[in-house]
Amino acid sequence: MRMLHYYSEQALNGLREVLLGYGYIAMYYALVITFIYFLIFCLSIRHTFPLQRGIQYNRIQKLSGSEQLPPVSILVPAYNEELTIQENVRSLLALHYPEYEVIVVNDGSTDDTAKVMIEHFQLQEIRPTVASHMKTERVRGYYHNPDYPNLYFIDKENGGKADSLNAGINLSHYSLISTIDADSLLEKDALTRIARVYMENPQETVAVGGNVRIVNSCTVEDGIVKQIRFPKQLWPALQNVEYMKAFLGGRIGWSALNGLIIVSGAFGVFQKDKVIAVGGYRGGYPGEDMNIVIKLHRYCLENQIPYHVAFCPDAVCWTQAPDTYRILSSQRKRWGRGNLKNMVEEGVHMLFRPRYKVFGLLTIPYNILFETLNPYIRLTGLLAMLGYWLLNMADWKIVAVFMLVNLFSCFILSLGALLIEEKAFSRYPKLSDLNKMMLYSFLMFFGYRQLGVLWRLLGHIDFFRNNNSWGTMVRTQFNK
Amino acid sequence: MYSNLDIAITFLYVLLLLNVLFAALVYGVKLRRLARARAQQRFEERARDYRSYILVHMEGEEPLLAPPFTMNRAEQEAMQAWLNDMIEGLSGIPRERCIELCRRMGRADHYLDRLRTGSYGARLDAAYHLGCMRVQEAVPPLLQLLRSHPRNSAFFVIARAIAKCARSKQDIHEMVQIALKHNKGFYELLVDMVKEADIDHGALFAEYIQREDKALIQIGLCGLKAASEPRAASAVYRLLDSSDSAISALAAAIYLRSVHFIPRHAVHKLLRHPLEEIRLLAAEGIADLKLVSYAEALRQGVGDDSRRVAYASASGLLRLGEQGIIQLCAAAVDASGTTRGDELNQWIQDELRSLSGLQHDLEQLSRYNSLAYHYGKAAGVKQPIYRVV
Repeated sequence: MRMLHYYSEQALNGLREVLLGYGYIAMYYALVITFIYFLIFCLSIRHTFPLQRGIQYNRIQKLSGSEQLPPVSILVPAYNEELTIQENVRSLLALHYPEYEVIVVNDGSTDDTAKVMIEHFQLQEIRPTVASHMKTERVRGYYHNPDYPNLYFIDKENGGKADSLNAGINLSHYSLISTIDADSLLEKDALTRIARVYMENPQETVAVGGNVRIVNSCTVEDGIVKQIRFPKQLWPALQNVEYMKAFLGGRIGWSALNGLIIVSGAFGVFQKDKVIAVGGYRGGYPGEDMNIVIKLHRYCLENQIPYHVAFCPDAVCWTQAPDTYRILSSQRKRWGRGNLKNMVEEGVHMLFRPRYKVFGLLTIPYNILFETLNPYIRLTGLLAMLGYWLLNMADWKIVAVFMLVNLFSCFILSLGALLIEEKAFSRYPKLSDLNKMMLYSFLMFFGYRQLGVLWRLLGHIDFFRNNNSWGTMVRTQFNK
Repeated sequence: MYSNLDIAITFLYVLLLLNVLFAALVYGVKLRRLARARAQQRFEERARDYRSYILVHMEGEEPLLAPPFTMNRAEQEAMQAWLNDMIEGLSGIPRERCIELCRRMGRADHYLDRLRTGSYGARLDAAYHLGCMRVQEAVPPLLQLLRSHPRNSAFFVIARAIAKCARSKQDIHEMVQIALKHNKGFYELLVDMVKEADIDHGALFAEYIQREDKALIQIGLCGLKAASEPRAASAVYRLLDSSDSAISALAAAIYLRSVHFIPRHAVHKLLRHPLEEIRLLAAEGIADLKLVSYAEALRQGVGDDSRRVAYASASGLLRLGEQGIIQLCAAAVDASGTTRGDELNQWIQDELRSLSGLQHDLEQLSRYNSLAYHYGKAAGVKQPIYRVV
């Protein structure tokens, strides 16, 4: 009996040692992540002032009519988008931009997307000269109507979003391509705003990302967001503040460091020759938007090409956020899977290698340690907390203080994003909107963030089980 | 004793305080913005009659009168923003009258003072407003500011202000030279700015393409890219041979847009150019100008290494009428047995199939008949011919 007691005591001591060691590691982990968060956050705040000046002093309306703006090919991959495609394309055809083309790519939809496009825009089959930069699934036909001279429609067999983008690149006529989701709406001057950023450094700017905002609850007329409102439903509201934090609090700062790892698939502009040089979009897996940016960084750094991946927060694309748990979890699992795939496929080769500069020394380590591995750290952290409590290593006071420090050091970042929003953009006109943003920014720490971790973990499980599906996706009309 | 927990609690209090301060700051910014919007709305009501007066008397002879009411700083800024919009949206005498009104209201002097003595933000703000008001006296200090300014968005705000205020071509040239020192290739943006200057920019761009400096040549070409007069064609012709591919491609595009006829030596030069883009433009240009006499030259293009050029040449031949179609069919037959020949035959057959579905269009029907007849004759493939009734 005494022996048993002795051994169990030894085991508990060992466990205590492990937990203590883990505690140190977790503490340094938290310190480093907080430091990076604050660094990026400070950079974002610092760059808000020049951004604000740029918005204030650049007469975008006048620039929209300039014949010096670079022509752009807008690629719109569409899969089962019969409800939104018509309005989306109409909105794209009405952009304030002098020279552009819209290439809608139907990725073998099982609904009437192709029929809606062909009938609504009275398209006829054409046989254009198509480049063969990238191999794609078989194209069933190219369509055009001279009455809509800048609209092209590609009907192809199903091959995924990346495959559709590659098919669009093959047909595109201009040296800049823009990718836009079929369920999103571009603001009229968004392309001009992004083009301005590109024109300020056209040789080095290989990609520019736009700002994605949530359109749920806004009033949309003729493809234009007429009245901006904060989402009324819970899930879109939480995503709204989450997007704001990620785009304004994060991407402005990362872009300032030239360490931006993602240009959102919903809206971005790329130099076509660079995209072709890296082999185009990688098919067969989600996360193609992150993958293409990583490949661009890698290509430019390996070939010592001066480059910049920029972010343009005033170029706005409105997107429909998932409004049910099922669709949201499916989306987030897909993102988790895509992130893991990208890190396994590309990230690990660049990790801590000085050759890849900021990207290899900061962006990739940050992504692997604090994004990809985040669910495991959180999960083990939770187990450790349980262990500390069971082994009397911590009382409720320590746990509470730890949690509050964590909560308020994260909440201040949300406040920073709100400050950037109000200072430079102030898209939500009412004070009540700010109150809601404040409330949801706080509420997201109680359940939503934890769910995000769970979804990411489930995404990783899908990855290991080779589940490669796109997941649940339901489209609804704007202004439903 | 001071424990780790005490430190953590102190840290928590600091963090809480920072959170409260940040939240207050966010609300402060929002409330200030809302108050400003309300004040602006009130001012717009108040200034409505005055604005109507300006709009009505825009084209009159009498000088425009300053507002008959006093304005605080925010109201002055609102009025200035409205006048800026007017100046930017107008041209000729109405614009001059608005500028003159700004001067008489003392706005030009106010911003000149700010440009000389203000903080960085104030100087930038002044540069923007002086640019809108086309204040020529501001050019020297603006050039000075531009020289020492790093390249970022604000740099272009100052450069644009200089272009708007420029007194002569020399000012523009000086601004361009300062900008070019950054060597970042923002030629299109520079051209967009230069076009805001009240000078003969066409002459300036034409002058630039005669220079040896490649950056200036690029600016000149970007400025002339919409040109369509034969004068532009002769000016850019020598640049077709440039070692810089961007220059030769731009020059070819301008050349082909500006000519009504392409001399034979130019056709050969363009169709044999090492740049695929130029050969492609040339093939399309010959078809656009309906230069039937170059059908044979275009036939050579059908055998081009680049598929895009080959298809553009084939499609160009089809658009050149009967002569072109004869050459196209002969090229297809000549290339038989090769990959390109197979592709070309397939292309012609696809074209025949597509044209046969457009019998309601007389032009397409004639094209179909001609292609069917000559292809049948050259390749021995029988195709139905339709009679036009």
